[in-house]
Amino acid sequence: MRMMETKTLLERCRRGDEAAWEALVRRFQGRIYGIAYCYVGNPEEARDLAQDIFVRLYDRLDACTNDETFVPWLIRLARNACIDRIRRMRARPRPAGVPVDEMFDLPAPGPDPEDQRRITARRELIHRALRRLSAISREIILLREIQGLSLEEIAGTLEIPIGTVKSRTNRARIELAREVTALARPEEKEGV
Amino acid sequence: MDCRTFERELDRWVDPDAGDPRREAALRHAAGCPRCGELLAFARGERDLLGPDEAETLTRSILEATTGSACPAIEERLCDVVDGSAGAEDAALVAIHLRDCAACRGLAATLAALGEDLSGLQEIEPDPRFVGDVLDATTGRRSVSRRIAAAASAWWGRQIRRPRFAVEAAYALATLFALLFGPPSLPSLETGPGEAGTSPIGSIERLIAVREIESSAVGSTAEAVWEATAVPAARGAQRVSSWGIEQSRTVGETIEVVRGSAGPIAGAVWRGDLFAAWNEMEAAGESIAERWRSNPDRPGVGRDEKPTEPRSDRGRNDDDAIEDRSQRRRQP
Repeated sequence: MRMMETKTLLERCRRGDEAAWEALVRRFQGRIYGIAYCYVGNPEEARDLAQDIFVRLYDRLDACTNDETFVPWLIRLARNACIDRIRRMRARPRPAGVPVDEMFDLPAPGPDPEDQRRITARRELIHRALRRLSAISREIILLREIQGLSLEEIAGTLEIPIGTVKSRTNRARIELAREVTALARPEEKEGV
Repeated sequence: MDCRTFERELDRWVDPDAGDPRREAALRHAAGCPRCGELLAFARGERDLLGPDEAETLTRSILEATTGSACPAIEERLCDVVDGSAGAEDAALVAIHLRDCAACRGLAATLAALGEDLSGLQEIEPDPRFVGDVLDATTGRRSVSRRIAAAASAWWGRQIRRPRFAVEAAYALATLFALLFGPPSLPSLETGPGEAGTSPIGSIERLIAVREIESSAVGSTAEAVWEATAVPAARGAQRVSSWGIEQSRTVGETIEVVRGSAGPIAGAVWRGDLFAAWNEMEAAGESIAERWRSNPDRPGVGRDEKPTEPRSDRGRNDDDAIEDRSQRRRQP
């Protein structure tokens, strides 16, 4: 079955086609949830945040004037929502005893249970390492390495020069690699 | 040539293609002198005394004494090398460094693995109910109560974000306080007008007393309204019910008279005795008329029209009136 182009889905959504809207949600739910999870680090909070992002998207479908750049526009929308949520979370005192970095099972592909466990553990490790980065490094990694935006798109989103994006990207990758190595060492000793 | 001369001009003998006329003599000396021969071999790079660890240690000590570690410079190029976008020279320099630096080698390996790991994080599927919840929140398949709640929440959110909200809220609270407790300058209920007000506790007591008075007045009013409306309505309903009973009784009696007289009338007609048939019909008609005349609520009787029989039941209980009429029916 040929997949409908995102541009066509958007046009139908703007005309009020609910089936097109559902298709659009299904197409991007994984990406939006992934972005939300990278920012808030909690599956329940990420789910709620992802839903909020889609509601915002639904209310602002007409604001995307160029459907060719819908994905970067959507990611910017998601990023703004994530930042707003993080600000509100910081203003809210966390209940005592709830670990900030508590991880839940992240769904991972792979028919073999051992492979699935290994992939899940690897993803958890990377997410833990991401949360140890500086905010700007984490954003750079998220936008460039995870979501695959171009340097120009990231520069527009973060409102920084392209050269700065390039240098910060390399720095962020090195930083992340170091954190992953540091976190992986105790686990290797424990035989995880 | 002696050893001193050989060592002094060692750089001339290193290049095998140099056209120095004394080169032959120097090479003959190196071949015959073990020390000078070894020296020439070291100078040409044909021998190396340092093992791998010793070389590494020496290199580090030299770098520490000069430029410092080369790792930061290598890290700047590492990402491009891992991505395959680095120039040939940079790639070669990085390769040389990685050969002897375990830390940077590990870092390069982690970078290479992260490339695939991070792209796998682009999409994380939420639980299966997520799409339904999003559709409920967007395309309006929400229940009415949720829509109202969402609209109310959105309205309230807009209100509290208005800059004037704090001023308006303070004004509303102050007005409410004044209504409940009254400003100090208003006269109290107990002391009468023109006199000074009392404390908030006294105001509350007066408020309670006023409420009690008002509630008793409300009760009296309610009772009066009941007496004026509900009681007459109940009596009227009872009269309607009595009328209905009376009408149905008279109709039943009429039907019985007709049944009773039908046989004799038919018999007289059969016999050909028209005079007897006429008498029978006249008697039946008179009997029916008599019954309807005795019904005070019979159709066609106006309100002001006096009944043909004195209505002794006027002003009495309706049940008694019904009983009186029943007694008249039972009389011959």
